[in-house]
Amino acid sequence: VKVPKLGLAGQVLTGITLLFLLITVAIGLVSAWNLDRQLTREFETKGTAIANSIANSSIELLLSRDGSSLQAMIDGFLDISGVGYVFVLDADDQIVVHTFAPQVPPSLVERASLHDDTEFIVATLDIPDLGTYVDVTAPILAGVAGAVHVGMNRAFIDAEVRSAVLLQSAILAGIFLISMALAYVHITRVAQPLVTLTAHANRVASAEHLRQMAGASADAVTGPDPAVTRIAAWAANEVGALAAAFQNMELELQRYIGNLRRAQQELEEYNRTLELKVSERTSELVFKNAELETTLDKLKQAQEQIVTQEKLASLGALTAGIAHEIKNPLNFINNFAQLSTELTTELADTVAKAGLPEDTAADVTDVIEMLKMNVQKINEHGKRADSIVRNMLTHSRKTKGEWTAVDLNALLNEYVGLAYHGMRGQDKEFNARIETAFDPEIKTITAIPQDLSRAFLNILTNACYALRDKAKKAGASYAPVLKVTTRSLGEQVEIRIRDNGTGIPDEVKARMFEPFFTTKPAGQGTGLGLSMTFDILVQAHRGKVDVDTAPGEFAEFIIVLPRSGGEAPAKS
Amino acid sequence: MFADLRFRGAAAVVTVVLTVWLLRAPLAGQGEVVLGMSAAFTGASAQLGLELYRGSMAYLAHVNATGGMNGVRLRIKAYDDAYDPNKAIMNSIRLIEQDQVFLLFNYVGTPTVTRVLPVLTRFSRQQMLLFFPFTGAEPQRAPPYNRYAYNLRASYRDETAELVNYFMVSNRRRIGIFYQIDAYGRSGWDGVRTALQNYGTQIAAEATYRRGAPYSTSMRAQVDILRKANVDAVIAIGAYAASAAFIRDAVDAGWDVPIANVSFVGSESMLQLLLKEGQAKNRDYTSRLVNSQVVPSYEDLSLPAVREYRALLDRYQPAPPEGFGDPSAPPTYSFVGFEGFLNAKMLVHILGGMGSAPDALQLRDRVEQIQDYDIGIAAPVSFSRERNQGLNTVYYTRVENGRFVPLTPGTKAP
Repeated sequence: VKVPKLGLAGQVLTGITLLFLLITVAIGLVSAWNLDRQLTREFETKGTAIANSIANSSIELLLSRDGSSLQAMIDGFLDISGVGYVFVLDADDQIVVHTFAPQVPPSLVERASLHDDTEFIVATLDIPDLGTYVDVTAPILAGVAGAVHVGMNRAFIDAEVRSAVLLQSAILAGIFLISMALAYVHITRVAQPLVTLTAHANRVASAEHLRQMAGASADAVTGPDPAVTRIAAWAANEVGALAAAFQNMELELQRYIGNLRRAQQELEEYNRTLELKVSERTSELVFKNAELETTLDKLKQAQEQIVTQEKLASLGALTAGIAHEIKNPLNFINNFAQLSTELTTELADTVAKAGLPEDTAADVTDVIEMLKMNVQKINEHGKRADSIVRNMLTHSRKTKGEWTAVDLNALLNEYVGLAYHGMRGQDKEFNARIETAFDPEIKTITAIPQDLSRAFLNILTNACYALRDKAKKAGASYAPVLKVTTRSLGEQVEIRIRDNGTGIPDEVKARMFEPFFTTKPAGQGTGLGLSMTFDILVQAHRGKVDVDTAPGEFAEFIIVLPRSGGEAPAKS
Repeated sequence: MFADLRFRGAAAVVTVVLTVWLLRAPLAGQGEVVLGMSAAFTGASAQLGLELYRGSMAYLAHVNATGGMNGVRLRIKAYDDAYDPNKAIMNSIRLIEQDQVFLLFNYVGTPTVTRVLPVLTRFSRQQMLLFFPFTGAEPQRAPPYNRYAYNLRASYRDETAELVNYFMVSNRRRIGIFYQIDAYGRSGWDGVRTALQNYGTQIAAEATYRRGAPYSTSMRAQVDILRKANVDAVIAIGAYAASAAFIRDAVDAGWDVPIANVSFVGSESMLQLLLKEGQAKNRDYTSRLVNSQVVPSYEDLSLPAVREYRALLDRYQPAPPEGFGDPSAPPTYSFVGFEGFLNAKMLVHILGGMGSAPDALQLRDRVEQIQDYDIGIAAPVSFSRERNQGLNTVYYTRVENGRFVPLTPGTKAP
C-alpha cells in the first residue's frame, strides 16, 4: 500500500483551503455589498447633512460677503472624509464658489440650474474624468439665495469597501494561516504516525518480512517496531490506539505464521514418515494376518479336536452302556456254552456206554462230536466277545488310579521293550532297531502311571505293527527303526514316538482316534486302543497329541504333557 | 508615592501658571513684547514666510539693537504652519495660550488667516489682535472680523481691480483667471469678477489648482482650459510655485498671452524659478509677466523706506526662524521682505506710542489714532474705526533683465 502523495494532510488542507476560499469570497461579497449599501446610505445622509449645514451657514456669506469666506467655509467641509466636492450657486444659478481643479466639470455646470427651491435632491452622477459621486443639492434660503451641491465620492466608498474587505480577508487569511498551521501540525501528528504505520505495514506485508517471521521460532518473534511502539505510547488518540492494535495484530500475525510454519513442518515430517508407517503397518497387518490365519488354523484344529473329543466321549459313553448291557447275556452264553461242552462229553460217554448200533453209534457219535465243536465255537467266540466287552468297560471306566510322581523316561523305556517283545512274541521274524533319547532333565512328572503306560503301550504297539507290515512288504533292504525321544520343555515335557513304518494315510489319520475305528483285520483289533489313548493323554492328563506322518515313510506321535499332570487331578 | 508626585507636579504647574499670569503685565513692561507669528516656513510657499520674517526682523533687530522700543525688546515667536489652515489655527491657540504673545503678527496666506479669524473672536476679551497679515483677502477687512485684524497692505480687490484696469486699458477684454482653489484664490477671483462687473463683463474662463502644488506639477490642463476659451489675458491668483508652473507650461505650449500675478505670489521666488527654467531651456518665460505689488519696488532708492530696508537688512543679516530655511544664505531684497520690513516699522510706530508697558486693551485705540503716518514710501498710512487697512496703493511691475521693474499704469501691457 503506497501512501498517496497528497496524503491525509494534503487532502484536509486542500479541503480547508477550498472551504476558506469559498468562505472568504462569500463573506467578501456579502460584506462588500452590505458595506456598499450602508456607506451609500451613510453618504447620502452625510451629504445631506453637509449640504444642509453649508446651506444654513452660507446664507449670510452669500448675500453680504466676499467669496473667500464662503470658500474657506466649504473648504473646511472638504476635510470630511468622503466629500469629493462642494459648490455653491447664487440666486442667478452662477457658481460662486467651488472646490474643483482644474475646473468645474461641464456636466455639473449644465446641472447647476437643475435644483428644486425647497427640496433636497440626492442623485448619483457619473462625472467624466472624476468618477461617480452621490450629489446632494440643498436650497439656500428656500432657493432665493441659491443652492449648494455636495458631492460624495463613491470612490471613497469603493476604497472603504475594498480596504474593509481586504482587511477582513487579511484577518481571515491570518486566521486561515494559523488554522492551516495548527491543522498541519495536528494532521501531521496524525498522518505522520499513519505514514510510519503504513510503511511498517508494507514492510510487515512484504514477502521478505513474512519469510523472516516464518523463519523465526515462536519464542524468537521479533519485537515490535520501535517507531510503532513510540507512536502507540506517544499518540494519546485513535492513532495511538491504531498503532497499539497494529502491534497486537503484528504479534498475532507472527504467532500465527509461526504456528503455520510449525504445522507445515509437521506436515512435511508426517508426509515423509507416512510411507514408512504405512509399510510398517502393512507388514504388521501381514504379520497379524498370518497370525490370524495361523490362529484360525489352530482354531479349526482345536474345533476338530473338540468335535472329535466330543464324539469320542459320547461314543465312549455309548460303548460303556452297550458293554454293560451285553455283559450279562454274554456271561450266560459263555457259561452255558461251557456247560454244553461238558454235556456233549457226557453225552458221548453215554452213547458209548449205551451201546447203540455201530452205525447209529457212529452217527450219534459224529453228531455229538459236531455239536461239541459248535458249542466250543460258541464258547470260544463268547469269550472273545466277553474280552471285547471287558475292554470296552475298561475303556469307559472312570480312572481309579492315583496321581503320583512318575519317572517318565523309565516308564517309556520299560514299555518300549514290552511292546517290542510283545510283537516279537507274535512274530518271530520281526526285528527292529530301537533308538531312545531320553532327556534326563525330565525326571518325574505328575501322572497316573497305569493309564499313562497303557496309552504309551498302544502307540508303541501300533508302531511295531507298522514296522512289521512295512518289513513284510519291503523286504530285506528295509531297516525298521523305532525311535523314542523325550525332551523337557520347562513346565511341559515332550515325547516323540517315531517309526519309519507304513505311515498313516490321511483318511485314517482323520479318524484314528475314533472308538472302534481300526485298520486291523476283523477280529484282530477292537478299535478302542487309540481312542483310549487319546482319552488318557488329552482328557485325563490335559496333554496334546499331534501326529506327523507321511504315508509309506514314517509316522510320528508327538505328545506334550504338563509336568503338573493337569491343573485339576479331580477332573478325571 | 506616584500620586503624591503627581499632586506635587500639578501643584507646581498651577503655581507657575499663576505666577506667569500675575507677572504678565509687569513682564511685558519690564522686558520684552512677544509677537506671535504663524506662517509657511516649509512647503510650496515657504519663501513667503521666511522673507516676511527676515524683513520684519531686519527692523526689529535694529530697534532692539538701539535700546529697544521705549526700553522694551521686541521678539517674534514664530511657528510653521506650512500654509495649512488647521496648523495655523493650532499655532495661534498655542501662541495665545502657551506663549502669552502680546499680539499676532505677520501671518501668511488667505486660507490660513481666514480660518484663524474666529480664534481671535474667541480671545477677544483679552484684545488679541492680528496685525498686518500677508494677504489681501476680504474676511479680515470686512465685518465681523475687521475688528480683530489690521491690515497694512492693499487688498486683492485693490490689486485685481488694478490689474483688470490695466488689461482693459490695454484693450484686453477677455480675461481668464487661474487661481488656487481655496479662500485665497476665491478672494482674487471675487476681486476680478467684481472689477469686471464694473466694466459690464464677466470672467471669460477659469481654471484652478490645488493648494500646495509644487513647481513640478503640470499645469498644462489649466493652460488648455484657458487657451481654449481664447482669453486675451490671464490673471493668476496663486502661490509662486504653482504660478511659475502655469507660466512655464503656457510658454512651453507656445501660448503668447500676458499673465498677471498678485502680490502674494512672492515675485522674487517665482522669478527665480522661471529664470532657472529659462536658462535650462534657453527660453524667455518672463517677457509677458505683469506682477502687481502692494509695496513699492525695493529698487526705488528715492524712497527713504527702501533705503532704510536695504541698509538694515545688510547690517543685521537677520537669520530665518530657528530650524527653518537656510541660515547661511544671506537675505536678499524682495517685495515680501520689504513688506515685512514695513509691517515691523508700522507696528513699532504703533506700540512705541504706548509707553514702556503697552496694554493690549488700549491697542485698538492706539491704532486708530494713526493718521497720515509717513512710513517712508510716499504713501501716508491712516487707520480709523471704519478703516483697518493702512495702504491702498497698488504698484505694477514687470521683469526686465531678470529683475522686477516698475511699470507705469496705463502703459500698454507687455
